[in-house]
Amino acid sequence: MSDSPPYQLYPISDHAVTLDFGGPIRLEINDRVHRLVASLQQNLLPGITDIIPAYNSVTVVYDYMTVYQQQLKNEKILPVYSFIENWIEQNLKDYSSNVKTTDEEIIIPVCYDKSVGIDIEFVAQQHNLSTQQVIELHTAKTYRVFMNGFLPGFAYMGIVDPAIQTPRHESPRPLVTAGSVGIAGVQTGIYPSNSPGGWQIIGKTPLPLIDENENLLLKPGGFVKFKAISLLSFEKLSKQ
Amino acid sequence: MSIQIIKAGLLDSIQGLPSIGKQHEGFSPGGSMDIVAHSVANALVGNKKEAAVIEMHVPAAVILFTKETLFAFTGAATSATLDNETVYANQPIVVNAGSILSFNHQIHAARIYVAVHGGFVIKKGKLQKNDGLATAQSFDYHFEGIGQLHALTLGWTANTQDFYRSNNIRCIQGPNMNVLDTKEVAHFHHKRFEIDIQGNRMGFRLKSDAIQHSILPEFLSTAVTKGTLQLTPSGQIIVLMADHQTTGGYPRIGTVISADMASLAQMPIGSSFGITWVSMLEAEALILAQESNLQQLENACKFKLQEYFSEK
Repeated sequence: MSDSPPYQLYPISDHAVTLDFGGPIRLEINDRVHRLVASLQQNLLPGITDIIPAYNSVTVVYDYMTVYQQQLKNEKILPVYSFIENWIEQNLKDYSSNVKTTDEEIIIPVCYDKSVGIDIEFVAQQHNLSTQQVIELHTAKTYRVFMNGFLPGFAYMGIVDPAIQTPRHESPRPLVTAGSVGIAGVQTGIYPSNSPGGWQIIGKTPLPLIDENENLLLKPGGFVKFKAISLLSFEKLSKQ
Repeated sequence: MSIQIIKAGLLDSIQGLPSIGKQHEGFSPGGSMDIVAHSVANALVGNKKEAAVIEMHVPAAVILFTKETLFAFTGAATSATLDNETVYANQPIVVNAGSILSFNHQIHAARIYVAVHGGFVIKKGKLQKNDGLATAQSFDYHFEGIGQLHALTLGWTANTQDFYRSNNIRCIQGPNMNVLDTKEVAHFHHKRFEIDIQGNRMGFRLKSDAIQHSILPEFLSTAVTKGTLQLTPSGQIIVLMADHQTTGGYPRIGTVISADMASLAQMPIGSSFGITWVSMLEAEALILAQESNLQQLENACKFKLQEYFSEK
């Protein structure tokens, strides 16, 4: 790709290589991440076990022996990690036009009542806003799922409107309940399961983010919009 | 029913190999902590490498076999008690229905693995439950009778010594090594790292005075792997193990090479080791050598078992 930004490519283990675009959280960079992931998935090699997108990096995890044995069939034998690095760079060159990523938008109903959005008043106070204004600002934007991590199905999303960006709590709460919607700086996210957590909790969704077969509602590269619902409909939907 | 836990141990669990293709959704790969012991246990009883085994810590579970089988144990225990007999690690052992296996002998490392011929039958999604095996919980396995069972052991032992080292763990340097100052880097190879009591299947905390300063830059979350040495804000190193989170934002100062992960997984709390930096080329040569040796051992076991079964 002619306008490819600078990047670093390095092994992080003897079975994983990372391509890192660097820089802060930016939508354009994360878009490149997901297009590179799509391209790598289209051109998959035997022995590649995981392709993990993050904010501004892609990590390829591989089974050393499988890739090595494939390599033996080639004439030119490279160290396995160099071979993987070359494959990633090749995809970086090719991914410009013909790789399609998802543009599906998932609507997430969120109850912003202070009984479940336990930090919404704090967030409002921090920015001299009413809680209604916080809700309007949080529901106005379409967010990118930058990546999954931390817990199965935890989606790191952004970018949160600067008017409500709030740093995480200095020490995490021992328990944040499943479905809690939080803000941490430019990021917003939903706890898929009960967990310790430090994000500012402004609401809660009745939707399960992960089902019993481990299928996720929010996958990396997807788009999300939040829709405010009343406490009554939250309770109704929670029972379904 | 074929095996029953009659007394639960500390953190017994059923484990397979690390799972594949779910890390981008935040699922930890999981699997046996010591893949070498896992693989050898399976090889000894004629299983494929991926067959599920029981992983146990100390104190270990007491197990009742309710059906005859061929089993083996590997890893931390050199011997165990089967009814009133002493039996030894790294051997295929024939057991009759009603026999009880317990580990009341001296244990020299951290984790014991038990495999049964045919493997445990585990429902999908159950493999990575690490909340322990409850007393009276039972697991089934497929076992085709091998006729009259009289021999207690089949008479051969796999030599696993060369797979393990105790005093020194080899690592490649990580992308954020530059958060250390030059003095810390220079003295790193003289330092010792002690396995802290707070370790678990997610990661081991390492006690050390190798890193003195505590002002660390924050990084954007990015993928981490098994063996990653994360530097926490307090200056403590956490090395990620089988149930690690898939991403992290702590500086990554290095990664344990794959060939030394089994050794690390077997280090008991309180033991310590030094870190030696190696190049990627060395790491690759070492993983290749380990996999080849393991393959040889698996082939030898297969041959011996075929011989045994054909005589029956």
